[in-house]
Amino acid sequence: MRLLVVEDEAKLAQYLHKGLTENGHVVDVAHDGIEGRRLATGGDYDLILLDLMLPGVDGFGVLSALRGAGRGTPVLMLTARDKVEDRVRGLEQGADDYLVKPFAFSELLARVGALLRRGAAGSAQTNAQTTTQLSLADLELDLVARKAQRAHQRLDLTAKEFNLLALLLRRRGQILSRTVLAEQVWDMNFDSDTNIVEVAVRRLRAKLDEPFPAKLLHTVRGMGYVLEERA
Amino acid sequence: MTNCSHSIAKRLSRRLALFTALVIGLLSAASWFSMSMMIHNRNTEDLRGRCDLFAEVLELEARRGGEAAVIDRLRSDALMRGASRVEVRAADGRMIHADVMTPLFSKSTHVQQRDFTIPAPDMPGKELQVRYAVDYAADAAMGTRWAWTLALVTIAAGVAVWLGTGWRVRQGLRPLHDLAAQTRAISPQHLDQRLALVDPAEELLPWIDQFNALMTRLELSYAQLEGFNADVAHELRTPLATLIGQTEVELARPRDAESLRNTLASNLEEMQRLSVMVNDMLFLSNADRGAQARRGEPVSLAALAQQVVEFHEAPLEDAGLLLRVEGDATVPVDEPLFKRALSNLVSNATRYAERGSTVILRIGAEPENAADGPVDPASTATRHIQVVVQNNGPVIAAQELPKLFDRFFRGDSSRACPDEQHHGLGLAIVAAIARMHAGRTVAESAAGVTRVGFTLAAG
Repeated sequence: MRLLVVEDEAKLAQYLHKGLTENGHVVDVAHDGIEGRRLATGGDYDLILLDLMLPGVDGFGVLSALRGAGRGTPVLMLTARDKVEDRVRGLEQGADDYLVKPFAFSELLARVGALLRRGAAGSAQTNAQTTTQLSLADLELDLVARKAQRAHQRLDLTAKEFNLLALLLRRRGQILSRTVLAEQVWDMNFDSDTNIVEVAVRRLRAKLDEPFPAKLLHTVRGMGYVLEERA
Repeated sequence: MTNCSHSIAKRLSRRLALFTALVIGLLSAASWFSMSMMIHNRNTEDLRGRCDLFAEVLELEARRGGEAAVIDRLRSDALMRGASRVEVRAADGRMIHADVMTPLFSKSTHVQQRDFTIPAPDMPGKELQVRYAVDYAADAAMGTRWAWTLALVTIAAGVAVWLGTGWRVRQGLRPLHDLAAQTRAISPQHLDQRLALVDPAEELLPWIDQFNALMTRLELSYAQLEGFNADVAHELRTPLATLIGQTEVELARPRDAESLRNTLASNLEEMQRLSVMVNDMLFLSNADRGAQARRGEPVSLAALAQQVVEFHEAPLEDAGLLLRVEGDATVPVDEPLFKRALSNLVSNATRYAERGSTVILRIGAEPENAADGPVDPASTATRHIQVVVQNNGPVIAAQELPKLFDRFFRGDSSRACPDEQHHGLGLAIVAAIARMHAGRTVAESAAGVTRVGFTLAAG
């Protein structure tokens, strides 16, 4: 996927370029509003990451030029200003999502993924609907009966533990941050006490991994959790 | 001080002077007119008396010596008549005597005259016509002098009042200069100073009291703010020191990738803590600047509470606690904020509850008599819902209860927890969310039961 990053902060732009490239995207970087506007309206991108405060033309200016040129490229706004009016204004002018600095890269990656999926809607949706069984190694989940078993042993999970495991399994190999887990599993849309997710994951791990020699649920320090089979 | 402002002293003295001059002027005019009237009446009386006397004298002379005697008498007395003048005509109109017309007399405008007749001495049935005129110019001159005197008195009184009140009012307003000087001396370093006057005026007292009360409130919030800033700096310093130090140590020697990875991961954890703290402080600052909750459709608070309880399922079980939700209310709230506040309250209860006890999350109408705290005045008419989390555990001292919702307040050491994640803003955020819902905080602790929560306006 081709992404455009419009960000004047050199270090931030550099790490976004590096991180997004390593995640399989082709990334162009514009360091001011004018170059950003030129690239955004002229280039062919699947997603634009747009900082609000830019030299030359600000993010709103770039956004209105883009929409004015009749381009529906998804835009993810990045800003240090956490003002409701800014958020509303950005979304009204046609931004698709909004991320307040400082943000975790995993969070950014999740939003980028969601926006790109939305852009390429259709086939992925039907794919998700038909899935009722998930499995990884000797772990099997029946999403309809809401039953989990490992090595043919039934795992005694609470409803939320099942949802947590299902999310990790569906996104296997991806690092999911505590914030994303709190949001997706428990519908807690705020910077919650991340300790709570840690305890929940620990309890899940006790049921999922402790009785078995091969561990599936791994902690990635400082970033979150990933469910995968490691050699 | 702006240039367009006016001086109370000047304006007051000018008005008082004009008023005094007006009152004295009116009194003077009235007294002058009544005086003139009295003089005029007295002169008329005087003229009549003189004429009567003169008629008697002339009749006496006529009886004694006829017309010749009358004329004799008139001539001999002429010099003694001073400011008066006599003309006598016979019945046929012939002038028999006229006093000399002095220039003074002919120019005077204050001459009063009276005509009368006496029987003609030589012709019975006929009469002599007498005209008696008196010049009252001296009286008129006195009246004029009197008028000038009164006018001067009026002006002098006005000027005297103007200068006198100007000076007195400036004296009277001197305390204001004192107050201004005292106010000028108040600076952020001397916020404890209060205004005071040695001899306070009744009119200034309410103003001084209000100002001092305002200063007390300001001092308190300033102290809070300073404390908050110091706390923030302190809270940021520890993770920053860790970050800087361990990065330096790590870079000082060649390291293998695993060691570098560990340091980076550890740095990441520290930075995430910093990030959470900064976000929380920004949230509080937004709430302080009057951010309001964005309420959605009315929703069952018990249902939201149930979600929060599910979120806390694992930590509650770890702590050997049961949590029961009691009561319900359907109210429009800002759902993420409400859940955040509840989550913080449940975290707090989990931290301090006795192992094996039951935590109760109670939702209900606010008790009527409980509204003794600082309630938003507009909210007294609206219904308030109270959400309280109750746990069994160590009692919080009464003097600590109000501080519970302060930023970075962590209670005494017995309540301090080893949990690194807990940065002491949780309950401050609860208080902010309550304010954003036009509510207030609730904290009670007695007999081993602690109840912490908040109220919110139901609409």
